[in-house]
Amino acid sequence: MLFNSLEYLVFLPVVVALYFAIRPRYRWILLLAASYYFYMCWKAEYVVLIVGSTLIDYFAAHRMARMPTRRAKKKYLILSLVANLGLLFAFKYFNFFNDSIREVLHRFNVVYDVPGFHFLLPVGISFYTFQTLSYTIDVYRGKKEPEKHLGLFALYVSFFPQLVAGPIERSTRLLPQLARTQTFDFERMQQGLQLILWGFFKKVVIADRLAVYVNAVYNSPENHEGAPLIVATYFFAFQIYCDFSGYSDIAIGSAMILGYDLMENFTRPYFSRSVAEFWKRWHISLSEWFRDYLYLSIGGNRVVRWRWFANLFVVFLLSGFWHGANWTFLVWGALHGTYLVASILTTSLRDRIGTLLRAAKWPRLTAAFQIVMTFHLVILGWVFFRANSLSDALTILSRMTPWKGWAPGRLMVGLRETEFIIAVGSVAILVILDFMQRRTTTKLVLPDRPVWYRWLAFYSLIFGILIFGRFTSEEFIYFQF
Amino acid sequence: MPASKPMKRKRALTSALFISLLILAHVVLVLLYNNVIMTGSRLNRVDHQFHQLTEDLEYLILGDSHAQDGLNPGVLPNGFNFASSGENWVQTYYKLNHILKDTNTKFRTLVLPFDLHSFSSFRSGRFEDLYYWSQYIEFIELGEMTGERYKHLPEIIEGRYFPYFGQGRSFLRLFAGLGKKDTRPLIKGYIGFDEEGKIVPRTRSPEAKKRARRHFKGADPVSENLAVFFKRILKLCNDRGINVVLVKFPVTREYYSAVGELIQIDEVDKEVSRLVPPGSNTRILDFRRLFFDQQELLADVDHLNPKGAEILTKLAFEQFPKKAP
Repeated sequence: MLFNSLEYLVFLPVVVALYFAIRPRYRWILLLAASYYFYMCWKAEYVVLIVGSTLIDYFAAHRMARMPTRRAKKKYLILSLVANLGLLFAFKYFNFFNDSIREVLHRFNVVYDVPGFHFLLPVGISFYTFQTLSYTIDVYRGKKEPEKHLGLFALYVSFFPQLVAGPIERSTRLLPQLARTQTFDFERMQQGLQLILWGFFKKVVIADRLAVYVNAVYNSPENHEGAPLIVATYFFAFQIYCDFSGYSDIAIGSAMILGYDLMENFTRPYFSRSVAEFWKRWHISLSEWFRDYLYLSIGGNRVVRWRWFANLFVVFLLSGFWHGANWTFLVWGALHGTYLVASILTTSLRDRIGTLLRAAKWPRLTAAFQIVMTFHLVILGWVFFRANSLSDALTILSRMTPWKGWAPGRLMVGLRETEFIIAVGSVAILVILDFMQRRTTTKLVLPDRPVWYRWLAFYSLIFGILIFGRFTSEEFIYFQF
Repeated sequence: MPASKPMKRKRALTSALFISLLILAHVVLVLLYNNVIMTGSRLNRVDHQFHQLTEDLEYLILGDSHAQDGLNPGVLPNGFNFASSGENWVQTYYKLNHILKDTNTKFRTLVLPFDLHSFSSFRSGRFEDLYYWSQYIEFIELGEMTGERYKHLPEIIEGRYFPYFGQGRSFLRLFAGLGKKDTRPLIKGYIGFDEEGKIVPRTRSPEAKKRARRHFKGADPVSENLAVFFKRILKLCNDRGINVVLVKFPVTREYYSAVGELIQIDEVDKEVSRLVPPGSNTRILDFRRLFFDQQELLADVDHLNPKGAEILTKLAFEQFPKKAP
């Protein structure tokens, strides 16, 4: 089920109404059934994978807790890792490796005949496998007691607001909330609805409109030159931000109405002053997962310098690979790894240049410069992320000649003039709102404002979505991961 | 902490007021859309003109933008162009059904486009301007055909109760004066292509590829669903003794070759020709390559400009059936 569908607009109020109507002790059953139903609307048989992953991790964690030695615990951790990563490998990466091996061996005239695995990629598999893995690793590390209640644990794995595209929640945060009795809170419902509306606005007004332009250009880059490629790349930066953060907002808002707090996944990432800061603001739940369960496990920065760089690079390479089995994602990850290593290596040089230019005298100008630079480094990465292949990415970069293609006939790709104006206007609204919230931590803080202001904001959002939205039920980009 | 009784009462009243204002704003928008924005739209103007007809017609033109822009009924004795941009066979069928059953306008010959993309699945099930089409299309029947009675429920709701959904362009045009409003005179449903000379020879080739991809990339060139409705149209006409003329409209050489890279043109032609029952009152006129060497008669890669439309209509008229079957 898509958040941006009529079904969800019926599903959520029904679940909320039933949830607060029934006795608290039965609520987990309702939420679990609703979550499985939510998932099964997409492809019913794949629910077996979630159930399987849940049972294996529940069992592994309990066995781990009973084992006296770390060595004995490790066996069950490995079971969990193999089961979850195996699932991920089979559905997501097997064909990539299989095809790559076939291609390499073919060059040496070796016949390689292992057939591909032709199953549809289960939606959200990368999210829920990482979520359950965090649980078993935490139990192994002794940070978390194994959850006794199988139903609650199953709900933790499959909680519908964040099941298919995160945020990837930690068991230490979400499980205690699921175990608590939630009471209906009018203020929370208002805040939740506000977030949902804002998420919808970002998705159907901004992301889906930008997608038309981006798809038209990126699906045939050889037919475009100059401005359309540049505009499409800028548009994609905002498309992916609005698409993914929009999903996160709807997820967080939906959970909030039910009484649960999910973690923030985005905090104005395009206002970051360095790539390192960008990763603290973009897809935070994944960045923190990689930091806690991979980067620190392989030594983090508490090793010799070259190992530290290697650790950074490996983490970003794997982060890229997490997004998809394609060389484009690997290059994207490698590029960000390179940015971070380069930023460490050039710290003193940049400091010296800053001193020379008396940057401290103009802190705002310096900050603006850093934001623009970081944004463009990120944009370069998005070219690889969005391109259909590496050769397409290189075609796009080589044809981005800024002095060509500005004639309206060439610039308007897929969107009519007024649609283009709406697209640019809505991006401007987003940037202004993000800028206005620079001193706050939560989004769209309205509770302190007068009633007329809040209502005006609500009505603007509702009718902005209805009038300017594109109701084509486009899937969220991160569903494919 | 649970809310006190007065607090609950206050919240209930506030919520009621909020929802009432929301409904009021919605009603205002519906009225504004139906009475101000819609009145000036081309779809509505043509529709209105058609329903004002008092005499029977000789020729009725239905179909998509190729027919809308490519045939000038002013050239024909007693013709009317009721085609509309993006119209697929489903829409044409229901519009025709409405004309035959709910209006008193009779006509002897129905002229339809019969182009390469006419059956492509890229426009199968695509319904825009729902406020307009919901008055013609039987969405429940359409759903039943695919085994899902309420498959088109969102379209019904949107078309009937939320006509302004996604119509930001129209609102911008109304309030900010953005975009061009078409105020040219409407003659027998015909206006003509409004962007004459947009495509220059230098951009014709990339534009042709772009359009060809839009029409055929990842699409089934002969959609089963569209074929079903096309046959229904022919049957409706056959049952009522109406001639059908299927016109293959002129396109640019570049568009034709771009399409040839995506589909087997001959195969598709053969397949769609088989949909026309032999010996029926249907005639196919092929003008596809007619203006390959006179591309100044096309406004873009696959639409005629007014001059091209006039020439084509005269040529086509010579081959139109002149009496009832």
